[in-house]
Amino acid sequence: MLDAGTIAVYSFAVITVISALFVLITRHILHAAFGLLVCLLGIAGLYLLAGAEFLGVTQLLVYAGGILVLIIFGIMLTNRADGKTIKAGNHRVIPGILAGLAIFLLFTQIYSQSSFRDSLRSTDNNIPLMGHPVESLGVEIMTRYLLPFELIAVILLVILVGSLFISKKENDTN
Amino acid sequence: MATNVNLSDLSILLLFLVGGAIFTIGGIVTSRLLRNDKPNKEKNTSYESGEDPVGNAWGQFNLRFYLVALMFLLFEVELIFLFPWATVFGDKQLIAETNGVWGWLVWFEMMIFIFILVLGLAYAWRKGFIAWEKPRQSVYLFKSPVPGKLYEDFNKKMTEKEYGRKK
Amino acid sequence: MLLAADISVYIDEIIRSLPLLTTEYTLVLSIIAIIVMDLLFGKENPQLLYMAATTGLLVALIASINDWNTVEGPQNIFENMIRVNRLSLFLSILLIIATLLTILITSFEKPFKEEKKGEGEYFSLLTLITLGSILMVKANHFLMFFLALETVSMGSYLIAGFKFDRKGSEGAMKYVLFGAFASAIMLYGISLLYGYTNSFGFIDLTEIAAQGRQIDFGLGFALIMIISGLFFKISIFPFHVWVPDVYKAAPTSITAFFSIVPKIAGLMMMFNIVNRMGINDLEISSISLHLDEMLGIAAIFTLIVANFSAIWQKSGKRMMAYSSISHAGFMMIAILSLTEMGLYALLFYIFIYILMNYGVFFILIKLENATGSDEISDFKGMGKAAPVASTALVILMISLTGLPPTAGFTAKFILFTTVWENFELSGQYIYLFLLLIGLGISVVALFYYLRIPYFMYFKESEGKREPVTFNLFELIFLLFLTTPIFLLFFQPDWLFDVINSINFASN
Repeated sequence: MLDAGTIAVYSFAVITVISALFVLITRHILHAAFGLLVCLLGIAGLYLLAGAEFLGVTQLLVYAGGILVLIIFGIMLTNRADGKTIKAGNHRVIPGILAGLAIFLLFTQIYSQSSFRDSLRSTDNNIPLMGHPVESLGVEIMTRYLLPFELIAVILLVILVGSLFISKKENDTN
Repeated sequence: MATNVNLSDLSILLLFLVGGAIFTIGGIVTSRLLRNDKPNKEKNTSYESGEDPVGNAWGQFNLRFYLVALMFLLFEVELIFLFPWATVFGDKQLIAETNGVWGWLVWFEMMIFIFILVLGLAYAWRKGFIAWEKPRQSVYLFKSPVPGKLYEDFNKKMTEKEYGRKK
Repeated sequence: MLLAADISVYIDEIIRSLPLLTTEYTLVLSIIAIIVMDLLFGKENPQLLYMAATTGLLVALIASINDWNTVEGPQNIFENMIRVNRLSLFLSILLIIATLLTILITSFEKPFKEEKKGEGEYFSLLTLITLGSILMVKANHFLMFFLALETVSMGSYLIAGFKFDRKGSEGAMKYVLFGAFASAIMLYGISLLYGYTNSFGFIDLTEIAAQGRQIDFGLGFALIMIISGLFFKISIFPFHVWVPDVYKAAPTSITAFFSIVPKIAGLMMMFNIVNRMGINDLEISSISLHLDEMLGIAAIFTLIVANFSAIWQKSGKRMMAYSSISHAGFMMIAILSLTEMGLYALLFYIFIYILMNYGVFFILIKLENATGSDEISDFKGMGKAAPVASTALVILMISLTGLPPTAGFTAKFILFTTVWENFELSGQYIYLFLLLIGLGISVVALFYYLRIPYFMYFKESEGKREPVTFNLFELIFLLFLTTPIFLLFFQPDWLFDVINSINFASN
């Protein structure tokens, strides 16, 4: 059935896989970071096509807009002063390819033989159906998943404190 | 498959954005692959308005940018949680159904969340990770053997000679 | 549209669940208090932060003991996210006591450098890892499980590099890379499990399995991935390779903390998953692999690899790292058992393990303070210089091996009795192998555990550095740790009574 939806899903999937392979193969670190950017954009497209728009927007904001920026800043920090970028090496190529192929065959076997149950559409999940998915997500966060939500606040606080501390230069005075 | 998913307008808009970004990157990549790549030593030097460049252009990257990006990322995750809350916070139907408990409960939960993260902001502020000004240079007093009055007399003499004639 | 009854039901559920988690609230308030005090008073007197952390943990301990006295049966709260029963409360108490011992040991080691300081961040990270471990033990839902596990992991990554030299950062880097990979695999397994069972809770898989307790290959693979992620935390073969490097690179009080708190939380997590999901009974049909045989083989290989590697170690911390891997292997055997006696053995073993490990690491810290390194050969001559401490160390080493008259022997005895009982009950040969290898490995362990007393008593100190001395307070602390090890061999009834009051059937 060759219609726009199928073509879109397949093309986004192909873009994601090719850019992920590019990240693995290339030797120039900054090119690998840009390949990762294309990979993350492709995954965001796949989320949007699956109907999860909040997740797609989160992926664009947090991953492509936050984590990738951090990665590129990290690369710029570790560049040597004479302008030569650090080259990533390819070690143990043959065992890596064999392991990847083995896992690929394993997953093909699993996904072709199993029948996943139709999860969210079933009625015993009791999700309150508000007008828009983001609204039902809001209700769920505030009621059913309250404890993980508050735990996330504590985690973010202590991770912020800890990672700022370990990045501090030693002769910084406050 | 994807054909029976009801894509909302926002999804279609975002798909166009993402697709457009990938399309642009694809164009740049293709041109890189297709063009002649014959570098020689002179072509690879940086442009310095006709002069020969001295040294290289790489300065040392300041650590502050990385720390600001790190803080941005953590507060952005907080922001992601604020969006769904904002859409259900003042929902009249829910407040009416639970006799006002919903409004207060949800407000308190989010205030706890925000308070815990404001503590993180206070920590970053107090420990100086947000301070952006250059540290003040300390003034270095140099005791010169030449008295200052000599400079002033000289300047007065030269000015009179210059402008005294023109007056 | 929205069903009106739903929201009220949810709100009632929240109000019902709130009073039962007082320990966690206290720990969160303690984290907030430590950070606030660090901002206000941190520069002048860092001693205040030690006291703040200790006070917060003591209040949490009191809250836990209060819960232990008042909670009767198991309760599922917060929409099945948390299951509070006496087992989890007992472990919360043990974990908080372990953290308090860590703070005490830190005050002896003082790992904070002059330029960087960092007491506030250290204690808040320590309290966060404790909070995560307690939530791990109480979790009943994969979302809570993953979140609590990541709390413990991320706090551990940050605190492992607190010795800010090159080796410390390298060890922390290895931990981060390996740990992130293991978490990714585990998350993939959880998502596959959701696809097969349509629920994130710890549901009983024997009900949805086909006849003969057979599950298909995909579900089995999902379970294997989840168990692999957990094996990383508990340091079972083949995911134990990060342990020696990270334990060597971290400050010694953090090494002691790592060998107890995340490991015990991971083990109880594994016990809860294996029990509630009935993993011990399942079999993957297409390759006819019994899952409990797989766990048993992992435990056997852990014991063999850990003990044989420990013989060659010259550094005290690496030897203790391999020793903690082998103890995790023993505790894994207890998880495999089909009867209630397994939980008994596990809890007894955990209690003794906490005492033994903290004693040994405390003496290692004193050694490191005096000589600057933790090589075993630096123990020379300590038998004459500090006789009481050396006697305590000998008792601890004998207990770690599992010889009488120490409580380590009692723990291993109960463990092997459980394994024999299971073998007689089920007739599967895996239990016989576990028993034989466990006994054989204890003999091998004798070689490296008794090497330290050999150096202490039979070799003279070369006199090039100052001898290790213990003042009265430290000796009292050592006695406080080693006396129960002695007493529990002759009179284990006190601990047996406490464990008996945990109602096993309702887990």
